[in-house]
Amino acid sequence: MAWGPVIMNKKTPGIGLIACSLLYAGLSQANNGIRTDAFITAGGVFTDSSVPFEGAGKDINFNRLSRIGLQYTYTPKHDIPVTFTGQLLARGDNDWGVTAEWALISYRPSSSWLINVGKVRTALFMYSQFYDIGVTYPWATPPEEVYGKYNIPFTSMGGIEAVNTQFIGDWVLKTRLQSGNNDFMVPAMGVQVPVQMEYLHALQVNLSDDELSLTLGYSRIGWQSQEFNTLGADPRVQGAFGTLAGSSDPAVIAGLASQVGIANTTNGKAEFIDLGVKYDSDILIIAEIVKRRLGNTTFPTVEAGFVTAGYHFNKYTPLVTYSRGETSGSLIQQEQASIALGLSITTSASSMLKFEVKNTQVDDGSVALMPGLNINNVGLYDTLPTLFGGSAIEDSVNKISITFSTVL
Amino acid sequence: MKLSKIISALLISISLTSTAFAASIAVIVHPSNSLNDASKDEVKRLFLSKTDAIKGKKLKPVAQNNGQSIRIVFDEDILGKSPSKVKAYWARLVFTASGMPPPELDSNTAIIKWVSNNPDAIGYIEEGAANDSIKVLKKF
Repeated sequence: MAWGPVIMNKKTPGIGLIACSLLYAGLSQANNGIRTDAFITAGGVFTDSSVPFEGAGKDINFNRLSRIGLQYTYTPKHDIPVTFTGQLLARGDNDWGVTAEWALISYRPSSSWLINVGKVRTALFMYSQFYDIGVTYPWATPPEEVYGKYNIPFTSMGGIEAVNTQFIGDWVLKTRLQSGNNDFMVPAMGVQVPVQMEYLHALQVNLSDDELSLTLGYSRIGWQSQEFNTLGADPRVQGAFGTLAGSSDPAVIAGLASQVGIANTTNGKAEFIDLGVKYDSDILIIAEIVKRRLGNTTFPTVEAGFVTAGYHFNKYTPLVTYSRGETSGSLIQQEQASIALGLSITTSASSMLKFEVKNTQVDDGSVALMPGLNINNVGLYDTLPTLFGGSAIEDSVNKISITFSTVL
Repeated sequence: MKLSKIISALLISISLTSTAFAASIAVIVHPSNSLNDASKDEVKRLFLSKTDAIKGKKLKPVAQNNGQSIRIVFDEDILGKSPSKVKAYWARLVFTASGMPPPELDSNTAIIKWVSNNPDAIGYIEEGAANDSIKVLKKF
């Protein structure tokens, strides 16, 4: 593999702001009522593909997996069960722009109930809430087939969250209810499509003891999106549909697009279903299956899952992961299966170093949506199907990731 | 000496060392606290924020700093987790606004001072460091 020039973004104010905040953090520890926590993941990733895949190309990319977060928790008075939490997050793949991932008020009316109001982290899947906290999972990055942006294009929302915790013998039963909304962008066919999420109602139930954890999640989303107006404005999409329609007439193109499922979505509905299990003793087993069900939209229904097996040899944990994702009911075909070999090293009580080599098989066979319109599968390559001027892809792609994660 | 005997001797030695450390932990409370006993499971639940009381008595735990040998023994023998798993456990709670770990102090002396000044506090120290300003609730 040829190692090309290092990719580094020039935009650094976000890093500077976070760095200043970290310096301030050391001072603020002493301030009564304020607690400061931080998490950092620095990593590099590259592939052997000339077409970018899962956000990485042949040149090692230090931005894709790297992020830094800073969280302030302020408790005005210890006798009052109210806290204020703010979390700033800068991701390398967001050009290190700083966002307020959280800004919420927590109220604990009793020892078993917790109410969070504000901008909260969505709990769609087993690791959704911990996605950015690298020390909470063994992979360099959670399997992209399940946790990639094409499946979960947002991580937080404005709303309310109620968490109930019950202790049943050695078991802990945690029930989380969320309701809120958000506007976000969804990557579709190489174009960023704006989506106005009108509501998200989520229920997540987790039953765990010291070694075993079972998670069940169900979420419903209502949304609006100007999909055709956005996708139709892309010259590559216009060109492809113009060729297929044999006309440059916008009305003809719109009619053809409508036939294959590209239309402006109104009152769109989506469901997320999640089932996850984790067993963590000397042996490590993690498995999760998810389904994102959509209808009457450009965005596809997604079924994905993974199983990970590993073994803790003191601070070394070798692991193997099989993951698979497939889409249906849409113009967008993204199917692939992967096997990843990883090694997680606990370098201290609060930090982990991880290596991962992943091979992915993408069956680029075409799917006939209508006579004369075959769409080829692109897996999680960052390209349009060739019908729309995208690049030809390889059936097999290898990806190597290295990350170092810590919490402070 | 055969290799298997050497390994056995090492394992026994490690086991004894661990037992010796485990026996040296003293869980302490304020002298005015009416509690007289606590099980390992009760202490574990309290220090993992799975409860806020022992036998109905509300308590606020204080822990030793990460990296101290007694903290490592407490995490492994009382909480039943390696220090890294304890850190990951708290990271999952802290970064989902679901809970906060106990405040940490950096010595037996600091823990004793804290507990002796806070009637509802509970901490742990090396057994030999205990004095009359605190009450030893349980030795592990």
